Amino acid sequence: MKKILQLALGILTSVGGFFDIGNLVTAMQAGASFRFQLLWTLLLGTVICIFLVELSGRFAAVSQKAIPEAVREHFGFKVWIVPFLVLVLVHMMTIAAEIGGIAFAAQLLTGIDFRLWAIPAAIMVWLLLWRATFSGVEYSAAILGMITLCFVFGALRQHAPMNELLAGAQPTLPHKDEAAQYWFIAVSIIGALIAPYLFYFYSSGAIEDRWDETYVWVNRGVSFAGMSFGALISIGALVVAALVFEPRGIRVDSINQAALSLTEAFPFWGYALFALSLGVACVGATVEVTLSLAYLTAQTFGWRWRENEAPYANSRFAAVYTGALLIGGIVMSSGIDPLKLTLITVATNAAVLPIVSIPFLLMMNDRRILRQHANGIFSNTFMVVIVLLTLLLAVVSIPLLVLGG
Amino acid sequence: MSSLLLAVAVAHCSGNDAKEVTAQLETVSSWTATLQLIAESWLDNRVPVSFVSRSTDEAARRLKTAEQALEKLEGVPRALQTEARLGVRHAREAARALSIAAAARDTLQARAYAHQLDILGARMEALKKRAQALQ
Repeated sequence: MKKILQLALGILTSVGGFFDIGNLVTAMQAGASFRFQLLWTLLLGTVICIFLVELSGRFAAVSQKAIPEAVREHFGFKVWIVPFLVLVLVHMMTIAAEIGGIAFAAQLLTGIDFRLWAIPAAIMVWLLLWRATFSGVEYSAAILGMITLCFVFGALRQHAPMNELLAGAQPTLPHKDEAAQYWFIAVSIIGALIAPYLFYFYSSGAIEDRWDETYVWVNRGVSFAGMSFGALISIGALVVAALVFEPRGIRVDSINQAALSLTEAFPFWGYALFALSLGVACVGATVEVTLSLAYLTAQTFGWRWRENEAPYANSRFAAVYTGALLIGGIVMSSGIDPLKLTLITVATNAAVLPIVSIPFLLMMNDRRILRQHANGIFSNTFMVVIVLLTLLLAVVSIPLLVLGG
Repeated sequence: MSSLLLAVAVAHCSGNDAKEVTAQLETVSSWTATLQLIAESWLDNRVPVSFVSRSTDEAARRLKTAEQALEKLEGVPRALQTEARLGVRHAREAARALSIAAAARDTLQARAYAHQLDILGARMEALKKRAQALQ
C-alpha cells in the first residue's frame, strides 16, 4: 500500500518537476512558428527522458548510490572533475533562468519590474529548502504543479484538430528557408526535456526516499507515467501556442507574448493562469535544480548530503544551494532577459548531454553493482542509440543557437 | 504604379540583404500582430493595464531594433527600405498610443489603434512576401 501511494505521489511529483521555463518556452516557440510540425521532437525527447530517468532511479534503488557518486568512485576524481565543472555551469545557468521565470511571473501578476523580484524569488526558494524536508519540498511542488494542467485543458477547450496533431507526431522536414530555426527549436526542445538536473535530482531523491531493490517497479511506473503525464503539459503548451499565435503570425520571442497564450481558451482567467503556471513551474524547477547542484557537488567531493536532515548537519551541502540561489538571484536582478537565457541554457543542455548519457551506458552494465538489474540487450541497444544522438546534439546545438536562435 | 516601381527596385536587392530584410520584416509583422492581440485582449478585459504598458514598451523597443537593422542594410533599394521603415515607425507610434489609451481607459482610441494595427499588419505581411520573392 505504501508503495502504491509512493507511485501515485511520484507521478504527481514528476509532473511538477518535468515542466519548467525551458519546456514552456521551447514548446511555445515550436507551436507558434511551426504549428504542430515539431510535435515529434517532444515525443522523442520524452521517450529518451523516460528511459534515462528509469535508469537513474534503478541504479540508485539497487546500488544505494547516486550516479555522480558512483562515477567518481568508478573512474576517479580526476576524470570526473571536468564533466563536473561543466555540469555546475549548466546548473547555474538553469537556476538563473528558473529564478527569472519566477520573477517574470511575479511581474505579470503585480506589474512590478521582474528585476526587483529576482532576489526575493531566490530567498523564497532558499527558505523552502532550508526549512522543509525532501518530501515536503517534493510534494508541495507536485501539488502546486497541477495548475500547469491548464495548458492541456486550454488545448482541449480550443478543439485542437486531431488529424493535424497525429501528422505532427511524424517527423517531417522543414521548408529550406526555415531549416535553421526549425532544427534549433527541435534541439532546444530535446535539450529542455533531457535536462541533466532531472537525473541527478531523481537518483538522489530515490536515496532520500530510501528506495531499495523492491522499488524497481515503482521506479518504472513513476518514470513512465510521471514523465508521460509531464510531457502532456508540454504538448498542451505547444498546441495552445499553435492555435493562438501561428494563425496570427506571432513568433514567441518574449514571455510577454507567451502570456497571451491562454487568454482565448480562458478569457477571464487565462492571463492569471499563465502567470501562476509559470511561477509555480519555475519554483518547482528551481528547487529541483538547486538541490541537484548541491547533490552533485556533495557527491563529487564525498560530503555528507541529505535534504531530509537539518542544514547544520549537512553544512557544506546547504552552503552550496545557498550560494547558488544567491548567485542566480543576483544574475537575474541585473536584467538579463529570462527567455534569452533560457534558450542559451537549453542549447547548452543539449551540448553537454554526452556527459550525462555516456556514464549511464557504462554504469548500467556494471553487474557487480547492479547484479540482475543491469542493462539487457534491448536497454543497451537503445542506450547506444541515445548516446549517438546526444553526441550529434552536442555537435550541432551551439552552431544552431548562432544560426537559428 | 508604386508597387511596380517597388518591385523593380527590390529586384536589385542582393540575396543576403533580401534575407535580412525578410527576417526583420518577420519580426516587425510578429510584433505588430502581438500589439493587435494585446489591444483586443485589453478591450475584452482579458489582461490588466500594467501588462499593456510593459508589453507595448517591449514591442516598441523590439520594433526600434528592427528599424535600426533595416537602416543599416546598404544593399537594399531605397523604396523598399523607406516603406519598411515607415511601417515600423507607424507600429511604434501605435504601440505608444495604445499604452496611453489603456492607461486612460480610453476604449474608443484603443479600438481605433487595434484597427490601425490590423491594416499595418497586412501591409507588413505583403511587404514581407515581396522581399521573400527576391531570395
